[in-house]
Amino acid sequence: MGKMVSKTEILPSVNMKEVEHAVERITGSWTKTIHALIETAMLLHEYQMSPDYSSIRQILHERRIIDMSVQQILIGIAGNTALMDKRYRDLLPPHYNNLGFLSRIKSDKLISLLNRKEITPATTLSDAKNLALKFGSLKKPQKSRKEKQQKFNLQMTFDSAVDGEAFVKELVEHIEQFEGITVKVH
Amino acid sequence: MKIIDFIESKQNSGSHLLLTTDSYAIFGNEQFDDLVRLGQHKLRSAPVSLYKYGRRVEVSVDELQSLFQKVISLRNTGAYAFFTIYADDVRRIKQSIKKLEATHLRIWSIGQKVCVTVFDCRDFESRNRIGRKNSLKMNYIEIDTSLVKVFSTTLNSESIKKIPTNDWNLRVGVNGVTEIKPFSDSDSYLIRDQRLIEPVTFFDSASVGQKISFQFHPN
Repeated sequence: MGKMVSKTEILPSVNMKEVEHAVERITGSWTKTIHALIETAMLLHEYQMSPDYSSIRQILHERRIIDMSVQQILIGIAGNTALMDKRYRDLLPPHYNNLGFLSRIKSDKLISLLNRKEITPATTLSDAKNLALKFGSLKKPQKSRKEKQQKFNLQMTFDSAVDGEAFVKELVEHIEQFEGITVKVH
Repeated sequence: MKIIDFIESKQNSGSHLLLTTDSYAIFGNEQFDDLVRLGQHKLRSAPVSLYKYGRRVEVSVDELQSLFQKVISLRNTGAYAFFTIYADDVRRIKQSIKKLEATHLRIWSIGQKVCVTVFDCRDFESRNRIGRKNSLKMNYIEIDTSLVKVFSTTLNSESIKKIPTNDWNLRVGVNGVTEIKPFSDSDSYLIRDQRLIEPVTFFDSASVGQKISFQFHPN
């Protein structure tokens, strides 16, 4: 039998007070994101009533401030009374793409999901998409017979220091934003 | 896509197709002449031109451009309301139109809600009402919204049937033109108000605790 090698790791002591302070500051800042998103959505929605709405949207697009497709998502968010309800604001994920998927669910259904804590600020894009597919009007893209499926295999090797599983999870979430792409992880 | 294929693919959408360098407008035929579909295309070197049932009509470029500008200007108006009707409600509305053989639907505000009434305007003609057999049927649904002023607009059912079933964003213009934009579609559909109101009134009765509707009989 070989010799057992014993290792002792000395962890630096954690300054919990400082950690809590940092978490509090970051949380405060992160929470502002949802309020800013909702405010922008409400402004876009409000200006939809203006005779100049078409020019306003075109200029925002042309100056590359907000793309037309993102404006469409934000307007959809503002049109959903549950997402606009202040009582639920702190429960919403602060990403317009996630909110865009949630806006496809009718407000009464969305309220029950929020009350059941099935939607939280940590709701990911794929969670939101799945909820919209299950409870909303979002449909899975139908493939016609003519359409050819293309498959790509991607093999990834990670250094032992890298959390490969977490990275792959993150990567899959990004890829699944695109319609018509499914990812299988082996 | 070639221009000829593009024109063919749009033939069921209406009688006239107006093509500009990057956009198009399709005007409904006799059954739904209150509808204009507006969209953008990526055809290479498309001439400004007009087609009637797929055949080119000779009209000057200036006139066509002026017509297109007129259509676009229909959107440049203030709005009474901007709201979403979700796909399942759109489906219900279309099913009601089919079931009742409805000619019209009226969209109107009640406080912060929007009500959609589906009806056959021929039923309200006194000469068509013969006893109880011809009982008057109407369907209506209520939709939660966040931003509306007082309004009422009546749309032609035939035009509504032409719009793809999906979540719809509706913008009710003060000029009597409603713009419907389905989520799935990059096109917009402009529909003109038919200025018809079914002779029925609804209200919530606090004393009875029910919704009451009264129909004004033509006789």
